[in-house]
Amino acid sequence: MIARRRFVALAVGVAAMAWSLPRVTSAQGGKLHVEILVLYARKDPGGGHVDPQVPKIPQLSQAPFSDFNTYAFVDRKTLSLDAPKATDPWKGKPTATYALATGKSLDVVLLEDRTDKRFKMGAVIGQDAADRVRWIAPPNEPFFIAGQSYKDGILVIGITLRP
Amino acid sequence: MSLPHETMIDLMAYADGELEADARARVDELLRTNDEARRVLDAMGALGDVVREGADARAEAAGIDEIAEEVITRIERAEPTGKGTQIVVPIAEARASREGRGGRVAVAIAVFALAAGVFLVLRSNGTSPVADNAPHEPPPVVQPVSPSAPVAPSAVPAEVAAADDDGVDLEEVSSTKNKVNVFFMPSGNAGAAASVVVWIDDRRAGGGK
Repeated sequence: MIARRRFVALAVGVAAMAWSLPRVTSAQGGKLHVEILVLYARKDPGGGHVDPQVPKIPQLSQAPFSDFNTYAFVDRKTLSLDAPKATDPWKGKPTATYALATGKSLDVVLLEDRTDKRFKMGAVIGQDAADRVRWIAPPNEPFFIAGQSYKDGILVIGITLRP
Repeated sequence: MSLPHETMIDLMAYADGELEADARARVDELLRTNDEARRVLDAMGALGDVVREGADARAEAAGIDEIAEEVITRIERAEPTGKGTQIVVPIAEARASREGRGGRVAVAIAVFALAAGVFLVLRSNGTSPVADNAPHEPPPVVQPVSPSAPVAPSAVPAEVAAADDDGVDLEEVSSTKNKVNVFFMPSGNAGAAASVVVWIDDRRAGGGK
């Protein structure tokens, strides 16, 4: 009986540690990264094609992405969120800057580590932060910004926080 | 005894005064023409007299009449004073009341059975009675929302409602030049978690920096 109780206590302890580990890591700061995935989507009248390099993302089969039948892989980068943003909005917040294929800049900012295991994020595209987005997401869940003109299609930008 | 069984039954019923007019006339005719039938009837009458005399004697000895009178007196004195008191009502009235109650129960059972039948039919068709009366929900596809004006791009930040308490929520989207649409992607489709797509269409601005 005692052995069983010890086993249960050990299992509960391990589970609690496993549950708290990501929070501890993110709360300590400096370990968070942002993954930026860029795809090129277009409508091909001659038939659809998906680049084998395009990762299998379930959301791509849903509208509005399902309106496009051809996807090409453009880039995938994981950046550190450790540089303080130099300009407004969100000046001083940890940020990562990425240069889009369109020539515009994309700044992704970590705004808040929330108590519900999610993070408040922000992104600005273009000069003077012409396009600005703010969202809340758990780690490893992608947030999408799409519609930027690129060649004869658009760019699909997936932004995922990686602990 | 050569009388048939049915005739004996008729004679017994005749002796007890239980026959209808036509049957009684038939037995009267039989008694007028058949000696054996008359003897049987006389025997039945004598036997009845003996039984009644014996019964009366036993009832008198047992004080049945006094008991019956006492019971009737108590019933008449009794008033409905409490939960355990029962009101004596005529049998015909009680029977009519019971029949009426039975009718109401039958109606209630019929209504319940009808409702159950309607429910089962609607359920087998993949709908529910409640949903049938309510406005039909849109299919679980992405619902586009336009937080900014579709014609004139707005620089004012638009506050957008949450899509999922545990997933991705959009808090703000704004654009000084471009048309913006927001798509909420529900969870469950193709194994995808709930997510949000912000669609910033920069064709109006020429896609410049």
